[in-house]
Amino acid sequence: MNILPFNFERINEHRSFISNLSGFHAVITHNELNDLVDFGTIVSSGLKSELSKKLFIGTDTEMDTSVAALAASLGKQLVNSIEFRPIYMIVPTLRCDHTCNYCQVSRASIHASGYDLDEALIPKIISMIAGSSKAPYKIELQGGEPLLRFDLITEIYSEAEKQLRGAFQLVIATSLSPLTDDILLWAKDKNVFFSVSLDGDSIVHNANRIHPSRNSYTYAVEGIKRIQNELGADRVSTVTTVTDALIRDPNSLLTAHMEVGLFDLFIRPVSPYGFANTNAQRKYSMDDYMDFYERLWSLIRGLKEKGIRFTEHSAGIHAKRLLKPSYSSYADLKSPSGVIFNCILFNYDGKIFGSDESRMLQKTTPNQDFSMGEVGKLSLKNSPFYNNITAQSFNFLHPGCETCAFQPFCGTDPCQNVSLQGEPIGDKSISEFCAYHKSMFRFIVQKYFLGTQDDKCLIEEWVNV
Amino acid sequence: MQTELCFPQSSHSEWVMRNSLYWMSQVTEWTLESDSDNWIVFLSNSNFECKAQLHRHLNDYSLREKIMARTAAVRDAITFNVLSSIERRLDTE
Repeated sequence: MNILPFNFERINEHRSFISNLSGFHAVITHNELNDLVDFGTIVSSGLKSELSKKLFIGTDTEMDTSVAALAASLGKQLVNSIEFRPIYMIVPTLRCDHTCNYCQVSRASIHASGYDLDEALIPKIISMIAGSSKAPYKIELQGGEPLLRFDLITEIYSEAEKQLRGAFQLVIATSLSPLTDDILLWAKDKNVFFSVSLDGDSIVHNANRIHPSRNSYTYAVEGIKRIQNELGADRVSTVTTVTDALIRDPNSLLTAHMEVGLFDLFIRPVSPYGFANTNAQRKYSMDDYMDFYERLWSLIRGLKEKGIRFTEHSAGIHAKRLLKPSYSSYADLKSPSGVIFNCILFNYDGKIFGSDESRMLQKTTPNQDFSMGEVGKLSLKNSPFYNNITAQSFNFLHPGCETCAFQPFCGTDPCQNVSLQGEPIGDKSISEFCAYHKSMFRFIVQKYFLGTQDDKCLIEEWVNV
Repeated sequence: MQTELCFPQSSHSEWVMRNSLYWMSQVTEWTLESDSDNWIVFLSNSNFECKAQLHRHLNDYSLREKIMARTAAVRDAITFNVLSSIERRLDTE
């Protein structure tokens, strides 16, 4: 019996997770791993059959076929990864009425000038979107607070209707504080959705999301209820940034969501770069985060037993990457990186970036150009930055990733590495990106393969939503 | 207090030593030196858990080195096949 290339990670005291280039995986005991590597033997006939089918082992006569199958699968993954399917982000204004402690983009004061998109650029931006990929298009408005320039939002929508012939969806990322009846009335018969920051109950949310009224939470939940009532329950979703305040009290997140009748969560740690952390608002470690996540998981499991079903999409995405080989649409978990392939961002100043993270880099490192040109003057091929980060973002070549069993499912964030370590590959041993995603994959493997039947069922539900 | 650890070069390759130490940066500063027969590791963190972690990494990377040694030819064959497969896909598109 021959072994084929694979990697392993210890999952607990007794078991290891193994994976190969095709993304096939299995959980075996440490003894089985040692026997396999040292002696090329597997005692259990069931496991032998499983590992053979999953291309971990093969007989002499099977080797050519196994090599061809692994190669075809890896080739298919690479081709899928470089497919150009971006979300188009537009920043109508960098101005914001909040002064959140962990703002990632250095918002501008609500009264500042020179931080709004020139209306004349909108037809050109939509024309670039129409010319660069196929329908349906997803356009996401980021900020600052986009609703401060509702006039520009209506203009973007009208222009998109004209040029994209209705085959698009507009998502507004907002705190909802500037929401008015006029905005709701306008959005009613349009393909417009709201993505709202909701970090927990009023104490947790208001601790970091600072509005002059000192009640950002009320704006968020009242706004969500108005959208649900006026436009429909499916028109609004939330994103959660896990702060020190929330780490201590995961139940507050579920309470806040139940108050507005939303049972879909998308949570992530505070971004370790950009302008986040400047006020030292994140003190927790990745171990603290995973401890929080374990408690959140238990709470969600408990609520499920009472008939209340939450879906946490961040874990769902990690589970999909592990369990659904064809799923590759999440920018962070792509190799090469999702920069450009998954996102094109049109900034308020007319500059174009390959991701939201690259515009953060531009703000933190103003003496270097991280843009790929301006509206009407795209210069991607001539950008040393984008050429460099794309070429260097194949994670199976990275030190630290090449021997990681989660590598086939993981990605790379060259912008985070540039921001924190000064170069796009980064030292994975001190990378927050690596620590976070590895921890999440490990969590999913533990629950799915080594947890209870209820744990497995919940993961399956999240994978299949 | 700095800790000095000595490992025979006959037991661990440079690849195993360097890959194991790579992951130690999370918990300690380290340097790697050698004499004619040994790898000499200096750790700035002297606690037992730190040393135990290094030994776990050495153990795992020794195992990974065996896997790589036993699959080197297959890896080369896969790489060749992947490049051929992508070339065929690009030709037909």
